[in-house]
Amino acid sequence: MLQITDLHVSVEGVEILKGINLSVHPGEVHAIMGPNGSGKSTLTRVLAGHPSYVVTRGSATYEGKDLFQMAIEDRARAGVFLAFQYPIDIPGVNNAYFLKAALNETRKAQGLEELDAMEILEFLKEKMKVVEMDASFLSRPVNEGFSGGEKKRNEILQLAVLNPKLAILDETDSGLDIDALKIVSEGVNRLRSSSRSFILVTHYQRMLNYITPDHVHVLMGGKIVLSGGKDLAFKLEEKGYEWVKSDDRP
Amino acid sequence: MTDSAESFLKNEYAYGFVTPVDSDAAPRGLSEDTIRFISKKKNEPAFMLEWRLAAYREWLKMKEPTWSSVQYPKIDYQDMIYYSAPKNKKDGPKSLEEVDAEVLKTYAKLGIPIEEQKILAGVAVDAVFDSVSVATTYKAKLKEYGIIFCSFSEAVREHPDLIKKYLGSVVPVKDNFFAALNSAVFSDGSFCYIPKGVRCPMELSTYFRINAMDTGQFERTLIVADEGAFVSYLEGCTAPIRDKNQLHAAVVELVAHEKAVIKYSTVQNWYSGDRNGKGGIYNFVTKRGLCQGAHSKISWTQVETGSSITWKYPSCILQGDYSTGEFYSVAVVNNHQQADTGTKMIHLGKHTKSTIISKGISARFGKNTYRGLVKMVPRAEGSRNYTQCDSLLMGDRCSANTFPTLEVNNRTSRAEHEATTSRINEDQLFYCRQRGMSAENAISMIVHGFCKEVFKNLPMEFAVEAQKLMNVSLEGSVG
Amino acid sequence: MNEKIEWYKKAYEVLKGGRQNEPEWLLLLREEAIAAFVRKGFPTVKEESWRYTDVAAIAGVPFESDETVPALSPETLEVLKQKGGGSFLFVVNGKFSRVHSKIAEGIDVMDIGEAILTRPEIVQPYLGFCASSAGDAFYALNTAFFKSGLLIRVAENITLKEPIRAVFFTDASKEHTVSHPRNLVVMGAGSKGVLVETYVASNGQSYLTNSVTEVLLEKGAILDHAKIQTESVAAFHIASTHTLQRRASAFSSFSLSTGGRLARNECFVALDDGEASCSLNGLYLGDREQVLDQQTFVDHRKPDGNSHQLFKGLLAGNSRGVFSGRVMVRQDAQGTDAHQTNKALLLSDTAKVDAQPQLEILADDVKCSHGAAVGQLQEDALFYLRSRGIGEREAGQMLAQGFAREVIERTEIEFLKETLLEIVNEKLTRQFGSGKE
Repeated sequence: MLQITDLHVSVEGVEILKGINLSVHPGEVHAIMGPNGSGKSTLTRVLAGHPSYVVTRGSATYEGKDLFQMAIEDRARAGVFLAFQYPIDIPGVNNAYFLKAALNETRKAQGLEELDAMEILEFLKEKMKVVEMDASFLSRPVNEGFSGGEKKRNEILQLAVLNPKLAILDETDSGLDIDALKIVSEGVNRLRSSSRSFILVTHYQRMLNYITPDHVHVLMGGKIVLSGGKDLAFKLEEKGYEWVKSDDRP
Repeated sequence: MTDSAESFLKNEYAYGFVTPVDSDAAPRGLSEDTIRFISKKKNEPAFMLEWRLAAYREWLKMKEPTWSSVQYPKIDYQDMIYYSAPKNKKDGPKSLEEVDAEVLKTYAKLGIPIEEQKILAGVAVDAVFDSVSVATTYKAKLKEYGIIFCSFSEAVREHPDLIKKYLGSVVPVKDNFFAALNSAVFSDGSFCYIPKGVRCPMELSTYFRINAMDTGQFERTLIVADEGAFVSYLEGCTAPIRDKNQLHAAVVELVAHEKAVIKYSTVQNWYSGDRNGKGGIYNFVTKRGLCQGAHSKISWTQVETGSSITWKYPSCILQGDYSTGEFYSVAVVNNHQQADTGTKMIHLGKHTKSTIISKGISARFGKNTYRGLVKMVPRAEGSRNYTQCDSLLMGDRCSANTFPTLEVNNRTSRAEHEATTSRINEDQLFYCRQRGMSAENAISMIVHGFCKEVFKNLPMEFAVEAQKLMNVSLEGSVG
Repeated sequence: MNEKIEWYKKAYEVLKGGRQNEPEWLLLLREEAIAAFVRKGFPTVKEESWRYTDVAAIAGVPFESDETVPALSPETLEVLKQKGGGSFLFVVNGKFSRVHSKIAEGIDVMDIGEAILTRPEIVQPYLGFCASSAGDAFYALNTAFFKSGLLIRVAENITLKEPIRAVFFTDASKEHTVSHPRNLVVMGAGSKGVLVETYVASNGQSYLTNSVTEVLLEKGAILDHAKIQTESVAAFHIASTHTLQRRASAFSSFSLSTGGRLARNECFVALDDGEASCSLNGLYLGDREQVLDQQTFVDHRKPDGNSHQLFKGLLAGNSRGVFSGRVMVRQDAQGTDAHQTNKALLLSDTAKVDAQPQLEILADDVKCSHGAAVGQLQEDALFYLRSRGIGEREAGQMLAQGFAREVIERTEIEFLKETLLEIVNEKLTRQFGSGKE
């Protein structure tokens, strides 16, 4: 599904990613862990096409296509979804309108019928149950005045609505209290399927208590320095990232 | 051209006319002869006299500006003395110890550490008494670094090439009425040149002082920081009490080459007039910096507590790409003081950045105006400005105006201005006093908090002094 | 004297011949006005308040009045009437057309020109009374030349159930025509109403609309006002609204400017007695070579007043957006709360924005603030929308709409919001070129 090869990325002339290799197959859940400043967020944003990041070397192939040749919205329409670490406020634009535009653009690109306002409303109400949101949310402006937890739930709602093939979650667990973390994680678990893959980027292991990954990677200094199964996450939690650098590891 | 050249030659002939050489002051009034007198007194080369005369002729064509918010009776430019040197010039103070004890007392009262300056390593002083620079310290040490720091007159004689190159390059003669007047009659000032890659090892400082009666003060400062150089310059002003208003029309020019940084700090405490608005200095000053090279930076910090009228707009022309301009200002007006001050940030280069923080405090009958311009031309892509102007009012007869202008002419730049005006917070005052503080102390504390963002940009000794000055100038503002 | 000014002076003299019936006081007002205009002429960019708006194109052409009432098809009228009930007042080429209008109960509407002749006592106390820019050239021209316009009176303690909609229509089939409508709105003590002014034209030649509206709000009166300016692209539009507020009255206004080659909207409010409040909001959308100039002046004269202003601009093409907002708090106006915000977005490389907020505070027990920001569509927000599959242009348009909607939401006139959004969307669709058809 996604094949990243020797990926080098710079921002404002400073190299952040220094040769990333990663393969994600359908249905897999990959957790990418690493200390602050290791390049985790950069990786997620470059995959979504943020204009501040420059790919200096390497490639990323998504379903056989060169991801970096695709416009931001084309990636999204092709099924790449990024749940933002800091979702953006959009004053004056309400959620219902926003979701309708996003969903219909995506459906159109996929050759599906556009939904009318009523159909969308029904559809959204259904999806909102996944993250336990009430209807008043639809008339509020996108992310404006939302609490941290509401913003993250909103990201998962969008994930449910847009039905992507590859969902990249950038520190979706940060800033969540335990109840919100449960709601978000259960939302993700319900959305797991054999055709949908996840990349979970996180600093801590705690989200992985709720979502069991197939693979865990440690990103440090712009490179994946260690990969393993779900047990690796527990080891990291216990021993800290310093341990990865030391000799006391497999 | 020929005509003026001819008349110039003719005038040169009249050179011998002027008053006896040992006279200490120019005769009252202003004419080409006054200018010749000044130039001759200072032993200036011909190019300088020519420059002054050209400025004078421009000035004659100009009108005194009336667009600002300040009001004052018409100035009689013929009823002023344009040059005055201390009587004891020849055997005048060669060191700080020789400076008049009364003067030092005044300084001490204000907490200006002039006596300690010799001990306080890191502060070199070029003190300007009336118009002639009388004491320059640390010159030798600076010389080791190739730094030139001397009186303007000396620079005209010793470094004519640098003066020719930079004088008037940032503030052209025709810039405004007061700049033209200064260009014609400036008496002295400071010159500073920091060579390539040199970081000036100490803060450079000048204390200006108006002493003699009825003397207009027209000093001129020029600072050039060559590629990669750094300098922090402090300017302080005090003046004794006189009943009559006095004019001070200075010009300051700064040039920062590639990657150079100039930090210019002013504490202005000219005599502000008495409680009823009698006397005080008219402070009409033109200050401008040119960020000529890429990645250069000019930062203005000013604390304006004195003068009966202040009219000044320290500005930055951000010509070099990625250059930065900053303006931090506190202006206090009490009694009948008026201040019309602010800045212009002219963004010409790409990715240029400017920050403006202005704090105005008005008490009793004081009038305070912030006036500013932020301009981003089409080629100044990706530029940024942030402006914050706050005014504090004490008493129901004072006033505060805020007049910013934003002109953004390209789509990748951003400018943002925010301003507030309010009374000193009664709850804060009450809280402080309930905890046993006097009203004056409470106000002083709150005002200091209000100005903190500006004070933190001043070198430490200056910040302490600025705070003291502010307390002095707000005396009697309540109750 | 410049020949164009001479031209206006002559035109004035010609008109004067036919004004024998006019009362002395009005003739005097007109004389003063034309003298002021002749003395000063048209403003130039050297004048502070006209610094960014060059009216040379207006000054260079003698504009002439055209009072023919064009034949209007019922369809056109229907369109102009828009939706909603209440009073509909139709002013065509500057002249009030009673036959095309419908006046609901509870209000008293007259042609101001007629009222001056038949009932001068109801006009005299108010005409020129609210105006605070007597020195301005366009105001002077209006005073010297106006023949018609609306006199609207709402009696004491009357609450109008339905809005008053006034449409100022210019039939621009002749070149260089001018209209100087003069309107006077008197809201009696304790009365309440809604007034929507719309300025439109049939597309065509260049023309000038030079309107002046004076509004008096007596004690406790409430007026929600809107002005929608969608003149043709060849139009010059100069309009000023002068509001004088008595004790505890409340004025809210919303102005939308999308039309005109050069359009200036001036909004003056004087809070002339205590506890009065006003809320001024506006939106200007420019493209092509448009110059859209928004001026406000809120004069707090008496204690405990409050004012809130929000003005936003969206500038595309080679357009220029100008905002100048002055707030004055006089010494007597203790306890004033005055806030102003101006935000503008540049949507193209060649658009320009100039902003001049001005605070003049002479009282100390006040809370005042202003803010101005000029920028562009936020890159992060664009990225966010695009990452959800929304196309680049659509995302831009969506953000611009959201930006506009924030200020549209401020209007007190609920039924108007949808109309405003439609006008804005239509223009934005053109700018972003994202319209499907």
